[in-house]
Amino acid sequence: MQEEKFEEKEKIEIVQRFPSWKEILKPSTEMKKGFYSYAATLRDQEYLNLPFPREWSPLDEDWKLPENWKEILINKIDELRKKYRSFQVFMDICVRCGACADKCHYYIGTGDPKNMPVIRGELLRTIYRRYFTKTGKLFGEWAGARELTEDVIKEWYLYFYQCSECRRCSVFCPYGIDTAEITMLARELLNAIGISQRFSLISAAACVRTGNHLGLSPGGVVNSIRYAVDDIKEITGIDVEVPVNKKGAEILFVTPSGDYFAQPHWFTFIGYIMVFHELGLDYTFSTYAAEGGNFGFFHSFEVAKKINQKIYKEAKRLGVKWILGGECGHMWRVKHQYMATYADETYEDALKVLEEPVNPITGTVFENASSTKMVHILEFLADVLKHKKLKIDKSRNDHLVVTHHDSCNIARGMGLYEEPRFVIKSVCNHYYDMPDHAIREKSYCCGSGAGLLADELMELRMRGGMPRAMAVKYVHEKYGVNHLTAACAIDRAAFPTLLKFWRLPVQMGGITELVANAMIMKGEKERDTDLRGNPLGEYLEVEI
Amino acid sequence: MSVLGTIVGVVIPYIAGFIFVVGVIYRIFFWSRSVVPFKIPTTCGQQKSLPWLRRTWMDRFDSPYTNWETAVRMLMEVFLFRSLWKNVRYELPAQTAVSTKWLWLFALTFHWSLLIVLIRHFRFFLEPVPDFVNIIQNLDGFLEVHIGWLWFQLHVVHIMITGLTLLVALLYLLYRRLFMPRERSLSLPSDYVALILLLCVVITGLLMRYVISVDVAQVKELAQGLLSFHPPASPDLHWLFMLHLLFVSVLLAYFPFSKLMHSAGIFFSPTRNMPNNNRAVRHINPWNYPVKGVDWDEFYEEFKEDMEELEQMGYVVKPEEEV
Amino acid sequence: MSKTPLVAVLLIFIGFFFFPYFYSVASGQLGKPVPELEKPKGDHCIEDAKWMEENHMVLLKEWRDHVIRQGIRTYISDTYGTAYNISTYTCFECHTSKANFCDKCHDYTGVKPNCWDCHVYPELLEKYR
Repeated sequence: MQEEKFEEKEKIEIVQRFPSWKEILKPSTEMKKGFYSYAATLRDQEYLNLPFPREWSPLDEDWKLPENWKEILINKIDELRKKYRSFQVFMDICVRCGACADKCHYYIGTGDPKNMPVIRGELLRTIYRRYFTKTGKLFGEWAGARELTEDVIKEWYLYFYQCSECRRCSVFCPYGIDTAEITMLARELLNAIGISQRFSLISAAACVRTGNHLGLSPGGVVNSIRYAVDDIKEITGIDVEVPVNKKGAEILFVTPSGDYFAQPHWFTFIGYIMVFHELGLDYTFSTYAAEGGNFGFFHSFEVAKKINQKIYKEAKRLGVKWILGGECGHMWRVKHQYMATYADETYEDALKVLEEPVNPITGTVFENASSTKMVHILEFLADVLKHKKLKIDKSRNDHLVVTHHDSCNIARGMGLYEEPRFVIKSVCNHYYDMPDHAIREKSYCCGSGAGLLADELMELRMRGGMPRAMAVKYVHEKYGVNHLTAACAIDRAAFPTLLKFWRLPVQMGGITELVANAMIMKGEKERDTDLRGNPLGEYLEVEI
Repeated sequence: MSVLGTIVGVVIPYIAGFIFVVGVIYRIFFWSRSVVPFKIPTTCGQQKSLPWLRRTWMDRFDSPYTNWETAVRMLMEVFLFRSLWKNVRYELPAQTAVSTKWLWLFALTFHWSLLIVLIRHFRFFLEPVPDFVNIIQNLDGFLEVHIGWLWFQLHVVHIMITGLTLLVALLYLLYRRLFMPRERSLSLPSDYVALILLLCVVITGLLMRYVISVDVAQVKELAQGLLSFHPPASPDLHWLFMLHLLFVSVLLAYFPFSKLMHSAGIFFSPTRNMPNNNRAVRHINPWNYPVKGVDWDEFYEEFKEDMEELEQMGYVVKPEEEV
Repeated sequence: MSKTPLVAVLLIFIGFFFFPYFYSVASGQLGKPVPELEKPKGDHCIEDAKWMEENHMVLLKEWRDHVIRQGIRTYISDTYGTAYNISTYTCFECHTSKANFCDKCHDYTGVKPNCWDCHVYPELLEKYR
């Protein structure tokens, strides 16, 4: 008998449970299908030199932990609390007011109490109390402390890989306790005893080796670009040339590798190339730093750093003046808040060639990027559109009614709210925001971030994406929205499945796609379709 | 009473005060010993980027760029509970989130009331009583009431509003932990301990004010004695006051070991106390260490054929020639 | 930068917690005991003196209500069984100075009763007699 795929289910049920605090202290280790991630492959563990590489599975009774795993873990907690003030403080000051509880999209979608951000933090806090605080040592479970057992490890693996590090809880927490931070450190802890998740490690290992998450060889990247210029020629009749690894270019363009061939990223990708061509930008792609994203960020400090260093190294090698980054979510969390901090001598080295970013088209100085030297494409596009440097025919997007999804990381990790809205409104006539509780800093996650885009987590993803899908449903019913934009590659990968699951006739795309759609290029042929081949003019009915 | 008076009135308050001061200072030094490796503000408003983009005043404080904007953000967090103000409740069947301000209201009421009550208590510790304490007392006590229908006779004419709001807010905070299913699930015994201790302090205090009167001059004498480190040998005060003092002492001694340290902790929270100017001002990670990755030469070696082909193309990708 | 919170919290904490100590030291009144009150005339107060210390405000409020709301003008002492005329003048017979009696304690404990908003007090009587 063939098992019904979760994606095709007609009905799901959300069961809210409210167990007592004592029950919550007990580890939940049931590895339910759709909620647990597969274990990292031996090959990736070995390639990345992770501690205790081995074959294992979350379904096994014995996870083959190293003999002194407990000692390693406790030492690691001690190390991390000295290294991260956030960790130490967040362990100590939570008052369990519950303001964060129903802010987590996974909690809303699953009803599982352990998905409340406060309890997710508590998973770690209980152990911290037991081994590092006097009250925990003295009063045990009455002080909310519990013994570190293998079951606790299993629970950590289960629940810290059910957090998409979206930081929504951190917005509502009166002390700014950031469960994303706790999750990141918990994953770091798990890594110390040789427990990693397959999906993020596959991408991270590929990125270390080939320079991009998809594991495309440089030839593959070049081929992708070739298909893109072919497509552009077909749509517009214009021959576009794309520099790759070109030394001495002014700008290094870095984008998440999903853009190279996934759907619907593709249209954003050709959008970038069309816009750059039209502006006559002196830029280059790189095959070495072909990836903007950083899946190591979802795993551990070291892997993240390993991946991160390529961009500055490549900027130095190519001698570019500044770096332009494509539409991506967690990539921008890393680029904005971590990149220059991760980088040590590579940054100082790159500073020899890098300059304060100046838009060569408009002359605008991007002061806010004066140190990192990396500008977001939407900042760049907003500047270009404000100065009317592109010829725009808004009516070319008239077949679309657009709404925008603020991707978690660029919203709550960067503060990019107005740029996308300005760009969309500059190229579209029909734009409607989703309700207040679903946009800007309160934006819901797509449910697939931070390494949870894995297929085995489908049920979790569809449930976690529910609040977002319902907000889209609201604007779809009210305004007839049929196009959802997001400046995030994971969103673009996650939403088509999500929207389909929740039966929403809405298509997904990036923002540059809309710009390229509306842009009238010099010498282009008459266009009667958009980049996707949909006819212009009449309202687009999206098939579910 | 005399031995008990010495213990409860002198020994315990001193011990508790000592634990409190040393404990709190130890904790904050302990926190500041951990380093801040990354600049990770939670950005709840538009970043500063292009000068003409809409960036409201609130955006400037929710996503601060300069140090003073960050300071304002902290002040709003501490004094107005800015983040709790944003609180919403997700309604499952309706699939929408509605704004809810009850927690904000009662939490803010509790903390402000506590602050004002503490300042009012300065009358026992400050000699002479300064004007600002008198003014706060007058404002707090502007309600003059006559209530004759209670089972007891209020023995004052002025109601101190903050004392009562403190009680009401505490009761609400306890109520939500006891009767709201989600909050009940996530509450630990220590959460109740803090609330109940505070309630004990507040109730004994209110009893003294409204029902069983205590000679406050003697209370002040004891407070001054403790403060000058020349405490009376065996203070002989009303039992109710002694009980009040005992609860306060327990609370003070419990403070540094408990979640009550959140009052100091919020100042250390990296998601709130750092400016969102990451790309303009580089943050240095003090324990940063080099990690070996794949560098260009290794990369070139591994994909030599591809790279050579790219070189032949002159580092430019063009559309295929039509045949 | 990473030490800013430490400095801020230390200042606030020490400022708030040790403020009373420094304030009292500065004012030179640290550890001041209950002020000596002027010894009232007469043998005893209308009730037990110790009880009066704690409860005089209750009694005075009761007196006010008795006179104004119920028109009762006589008070029988619980302790001594004697009758007293309910009036501030009854008090003034023994307590002849507001400044040397009432105010001393009230200032010490920061109590600001509103008796004198309406009532006359001995010093004022003296002045206009």
